[in-house]
This record gives sequence, C-alpha cells and structure tokens, in this order.
Amino acid sequence: MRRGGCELATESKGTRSPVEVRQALAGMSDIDYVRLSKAAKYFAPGTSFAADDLIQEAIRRLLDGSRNWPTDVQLTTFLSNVMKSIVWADRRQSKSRPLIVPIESTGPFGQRNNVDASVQHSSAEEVVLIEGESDERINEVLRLFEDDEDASMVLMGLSDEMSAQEIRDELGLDSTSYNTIRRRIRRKANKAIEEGRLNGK
Amino acid sequence: MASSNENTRNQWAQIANELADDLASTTDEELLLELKDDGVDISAEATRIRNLISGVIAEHGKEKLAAARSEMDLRNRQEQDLGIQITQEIRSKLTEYIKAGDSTITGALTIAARNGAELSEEDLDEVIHALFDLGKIDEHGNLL
Repeated sequence: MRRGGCELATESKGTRSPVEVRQALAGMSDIDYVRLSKAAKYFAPGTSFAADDLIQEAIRRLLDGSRNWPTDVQLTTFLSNVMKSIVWADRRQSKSRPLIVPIESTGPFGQRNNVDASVQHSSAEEVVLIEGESDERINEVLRLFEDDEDASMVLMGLSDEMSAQEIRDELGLDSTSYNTIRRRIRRKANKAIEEGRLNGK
Repeated sequence: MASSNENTRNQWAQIANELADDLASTTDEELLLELKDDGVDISAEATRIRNLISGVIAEHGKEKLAAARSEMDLRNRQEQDLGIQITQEIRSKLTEYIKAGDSTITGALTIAARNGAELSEEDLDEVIHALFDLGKIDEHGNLL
C-alpha cells in the first residue's frame, strides 16, 4: 500500500543520489503533488513563506544537496520534513517580527483586518496584521471545533505546546483514539484552509 | 519572555506538525477519498504544483550551468596566464634557432618546415607554444 511517496527502480544505501532525486521528482503522482501542497498549507501560516514558496524552497534544498534524502523515507514525507525545518528556522529568525498572513483574511465577526504595510516575501500577497489580532487564526481553529469536545481538548493541548504523548496521557487517550481525533481535526481544518479561513495558500 | 506573536506562531506550529503527521499517515487511497469529499480538483492542483516544481528544477539547472561556465572561464584564464606571451622578440629568437638547425627545435617542426619551407607567423606561434609546453624554452624564448 503506497503511503505518501513514489517508487524508484533502484535504491542506494544511505541517501539518494542526484540521479535518483531527479528520477523521483519526475515520477511523482498527482496525489504526491497534492499531498505536498497540503503539507505546505499547514506549515506556511505564521511564517514569512507562502505555501508555494515553501515547496519551492524545499525542492531547491533537495536539488542543491543542502538536504540529503534518506533512502528509507518517502519523498513526500522527506519534503514535508524539510518544510518543517525551514519554518522552524524562520520562526527563530522572526521572534520580533509581527505576524504575517495572506491578504484575504477578515475577522471572524466579519470585520476587515487592519493592516500596517505589505511585507517582503516572494509570490504571495502578504500583509502585516496589527498586534491585537495576532491570536485570530488560533481562535478561528478553535471555533471550528466548538461542538467537538475531544478535538477542542486536543487543540488546546497543542496550543499549550504539549506533545502528542503528553496530550494522550492527560486526556487518557490511546493511540488509536488520539489518531482518530487528529484525523477529524485535519479534515475540518482542510475545509477551512481551502475556503481561505485559515490563510493557507 | 516570548511575545504574543511568537506564542501564536509556536502554537500554530504545534498544530501544523500534528496535521502534517496525520497527513503522512494517510494512505493514498484514503487521501484520494478525502480530496474528492472536499471537492478538490486533484488534477488542477497537481498540475499547478508540478509546474511549480518544474520551474525550480529548470532554474537549478541554469544556475548549475552558469556556475560550470564561470569555473571553466576562470580555469581558462588561469591557463592563459601561465602560458607564454609571444612577442616579436621571441619570434626572432626562434627563427634564429630554426635557421641554425638546433636539434631541440627541429623536433617540434613539421616535415615541410624542416625542409626549409617558410613558416607563417601563426605556424611559428604554434611551435613556440609547443616548445614552451614541452619545457624546451622558457617564457622569454630562451632554450632550456
């Protein structure tokens, strides 16, 4: 059963060679591309990157060898991890930078978000929200699950930067139950992202 | 102490990590059903991302080629700098060596030239380069 990756004719030990990388990139399926797009939309909010920029940067780092793709990891999983590390580094650099989100956001009560200025990065139109509205996106996610107590509790735990294990322990959830709730959160978040409510691009 | 914005970023990062982990654990078949259920135009989105990635690959290829050309140009310049700068004075010296039938020189000449045919300036320059590369003359045209 294929899970988030493509198959190669040959595999070498350690990390993939440049030839294998090019072969794999050329062999990506439609599902692989969409999987990548989804991951980027999860990671991009709150960073200086638009989702498409994240994908491009991850591919760039794979091609130029600054990130090596292990042979035992699927391509899309690897690229997702690269995007995760890119945004982690971006967050470290942005500690004093105001929150940046794409332009189409309006507040949950229909009000327009005030903006100070447009900011730097690449292809997406991005604006800076004034500081008072910086929690809006998290609140938007929590509102999605107002009638789902289990999901609300898990999200609160994540918002408090608890690990998945800590949350499971705190709520008395086994892995299967936790994963079921997590899947439910992702499905609902997907819809919000596609509708632009969570500002994923 | 972390600012409000930093906290928000960190909070979202935790949620995003979990969403990404769940995505990674979703099989292609499950994801396909999910996308259809969400009304996603899979083909259109895939084409968009494919084109995005193709652009990066093409750009990377151009950058690699440009870097290789720069390296080659630099290497050529370095080789030229080490080469002999042929002056009229050096040509005159070599012409004298040839007239004198110097054994070091005659070995580098074509048969026609050895038989006394006139060498053009271009031919003479080629001989001079060859002799320099062979270590038979120094950069001033003197026999070694």
